[in-house]
Amino acid sequence: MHVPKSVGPLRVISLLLLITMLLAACGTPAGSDEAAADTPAASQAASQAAVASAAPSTAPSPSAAPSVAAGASAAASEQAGAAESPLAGASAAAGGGEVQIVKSSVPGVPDAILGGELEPFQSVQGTPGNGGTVSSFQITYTPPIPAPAENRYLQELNKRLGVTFEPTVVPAAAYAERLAAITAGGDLPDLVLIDLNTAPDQLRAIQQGAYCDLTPYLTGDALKEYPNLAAFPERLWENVKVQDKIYGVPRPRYLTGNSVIWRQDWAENLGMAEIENADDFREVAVAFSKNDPDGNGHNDTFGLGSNNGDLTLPFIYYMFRVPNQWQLNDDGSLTYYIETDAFKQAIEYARQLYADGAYHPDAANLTTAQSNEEFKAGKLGGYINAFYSLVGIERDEVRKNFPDAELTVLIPPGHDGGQGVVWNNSGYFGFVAISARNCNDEERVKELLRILNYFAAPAGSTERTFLDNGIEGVHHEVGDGGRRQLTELGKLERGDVQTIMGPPPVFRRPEGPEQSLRLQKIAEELTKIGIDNPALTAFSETQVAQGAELNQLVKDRITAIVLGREPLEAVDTLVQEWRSRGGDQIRQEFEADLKASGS
Amino acid sequence: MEKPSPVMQASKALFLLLVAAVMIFPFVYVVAVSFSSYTDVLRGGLILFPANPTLEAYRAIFAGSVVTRALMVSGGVTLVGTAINVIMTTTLAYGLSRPGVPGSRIILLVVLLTMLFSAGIIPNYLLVKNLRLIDSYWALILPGAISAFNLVIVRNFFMGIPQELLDSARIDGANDWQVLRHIVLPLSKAVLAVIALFYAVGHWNSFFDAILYLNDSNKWPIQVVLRQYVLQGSVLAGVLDPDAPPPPTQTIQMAIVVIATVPILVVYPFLQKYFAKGVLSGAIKG
Repeated sequence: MHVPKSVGPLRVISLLLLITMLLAACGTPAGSDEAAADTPAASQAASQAAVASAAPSTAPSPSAAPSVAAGASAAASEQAGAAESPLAGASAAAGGGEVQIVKSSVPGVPDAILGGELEPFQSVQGTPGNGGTVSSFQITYTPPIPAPAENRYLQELNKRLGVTFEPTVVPAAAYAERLAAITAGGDLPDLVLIDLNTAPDQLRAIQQGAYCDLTPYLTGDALKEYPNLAAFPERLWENVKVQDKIYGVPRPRYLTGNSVIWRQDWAENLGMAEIENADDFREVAVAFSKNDPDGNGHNDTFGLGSNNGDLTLPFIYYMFRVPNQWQLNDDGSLTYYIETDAFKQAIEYARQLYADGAYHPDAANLTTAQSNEEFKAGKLGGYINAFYSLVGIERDEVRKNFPDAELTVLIPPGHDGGQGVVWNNSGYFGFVAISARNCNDEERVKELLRILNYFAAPAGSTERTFLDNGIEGVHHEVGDGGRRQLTELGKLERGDVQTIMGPPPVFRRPEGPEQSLRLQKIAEELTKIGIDNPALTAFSETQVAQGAELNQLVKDRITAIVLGREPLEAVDTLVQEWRSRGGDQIRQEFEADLKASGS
Repeated sequence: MEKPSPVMQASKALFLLLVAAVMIFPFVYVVAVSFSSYTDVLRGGLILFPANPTLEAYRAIFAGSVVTRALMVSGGVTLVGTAINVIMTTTLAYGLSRPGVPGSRIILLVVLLTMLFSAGIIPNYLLVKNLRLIDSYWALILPGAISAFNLVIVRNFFMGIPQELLDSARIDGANDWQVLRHIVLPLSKAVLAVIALFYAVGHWNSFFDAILYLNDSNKWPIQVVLRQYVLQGSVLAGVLDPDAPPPPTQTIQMAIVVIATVPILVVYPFLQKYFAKGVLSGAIKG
């Protein structure tokens, strides 16, 4: 091509301009440019959708497709691990035979259900609803389900509830923004799922009276009106309190904290099966990286990964007995975990681990999914994940490639021997609140609670069987040994509206009773040494406004120190900075709040 | 300038081929996997051509009416929305491009202001709510009817049309509508193609406003629905909620990517020539 020289620069500029415009066109959907650009999550979501259908000339689009897919397939273990959750549990009972319910001696540890189909029973007496309409706001993870007019599942649900149930579902990616918008618009439906972790500004809405105080309905004898809710662990009702009042019904999850999923067979190959203190842990983790634990003759393994860039630090905190976020002192004052000596020791230890080469080279950036990929590829010795994902990871992921693999969940030892600790979870994922327009009508509030009680029906009840499986012969077929299998229509029509509430989890593995008992045992070990966050239910205005920012600050600094980019002394400056940028304020507000609530 | 040597030409060609291959490869992979059987995908390895071609994944996605309806919603919103966008943008741009229109500077300033400052999610939601557009497809179309950026492009293009041409039409007795229709628009096909494409891509990709303004999940456009398919059971969902159902197979995910991409992919080649020319002419003038 013969291009006159003088045109060159002009061409380059116009080309640049073209690219900029292309990006602008693809990055922000025209209809939503004001709305989407406002929050990182939103624009991320928008651009993710945009990238998927971007033009061939934009560079990012080709790479987007494989990475989305990899992330999702890596998640298989998360899901498999969740198979004992109520949703899958009822349809996953293995074979027939005697049913045995094994209760744990440790409070807060879920039951294990062994054997086949439970004897059906009714957990709800009468029809919960009074014939009106009940609207809800909740998160969905499934494609949209058909409208009630052509959806037999919803029709049957309405009949059984005795109301017209009108759920508004929103994808998790837009949950917080949408909830903020409808709160501001005064459009709150009757039942609202509130997850304060993703939507902390709802605390303000609660304080301003957007939701009913349900304490009188959900404590003492009043709670017995709702037997399925009364069956929730006592702790949940404590943990869900906001300033000493209950504003919603918690959606039960495991109370037990996460720990390290570990290649026990590797440890045994190295002759280091037992981990009794921090030195043992270091020795094994380093040997995982350096001593060819899988015996394949290649130096191709690493010790520790990350759960979303956490560098396995929580486990190290557990060994050093670092308090769960806050430590409540005898005089009623609070100490933040980064202010403790134990924390500093833990960070020093982690620094040494990193320097010794125990970590995966990308550990600071590994997501859970990536760690999981490395783990199932036989490249990683351990990383933090939900303890109940153990069986699924072992079965689906690792054994497929390495039939002899033995996994375990490490029970944290003390760094000096003895027992470590585990940080307990809140035990719920969001709570369902009742919006203010219902508060003055006592019978209406009770009706709404009865409906939540219905959705919380336990495994084996006729209500649960319907909620999870729909109508027999339409939405599911009963196969060998009472095993229920959703039909295509069932998958299509059910969706996940019924997950607005659920019963406490139980251990009920499809792999068999021994796996259910194994998980229950691990949960017991972890629960015994569990410690609570004393400020879990305390309220702080500053925390709402600046908590996320401060958490990021702490996380970034800790990573830099562990990676050796900053000296260990930077822990002290981190504490100073955290305190001056709002930490002290949060502490004071928490302390005042705890004092006011008399604990 | 002398002709480059054959070796040079060959190496250039090779280099360009490589670059093209790097661009095309992921698409081939995505399409190939979407038509493969799941067992082949599980076996791992690189798939550039489906060994056992099957429509399994597409059948799974199109089972039921969810995806079909969402495609119709997106198609409708894209068609109607783009038409409204183009009409609103060209008429305003025409008004603003002619000298001596009273108040044109103020109007231009107000429009440009939205490029620099935009209201947040909540004010936008309240506006849409008070216009009673919640749960209506118009909520996806009207709030972004004019994009300030596109308006500037079109206005600059219109300003580049010689005044004499318009004057000649005036002498023949044409009014503003006729000038716009018979003189300005035919001369501006290039820029119209460009902004129509910008708007159409925007509508097709529209995601967040749909989630924000539509209560009824049966009205969701294709991008929201497909995202639910891709992400259902992903780590994102799983970490938040162990109740989330298991993830779809990789073949289904790839089929979804194909469905989301193809419509725009098909439109591009036809508009490509207008596209480059249009943006350049507007840009150089500005």
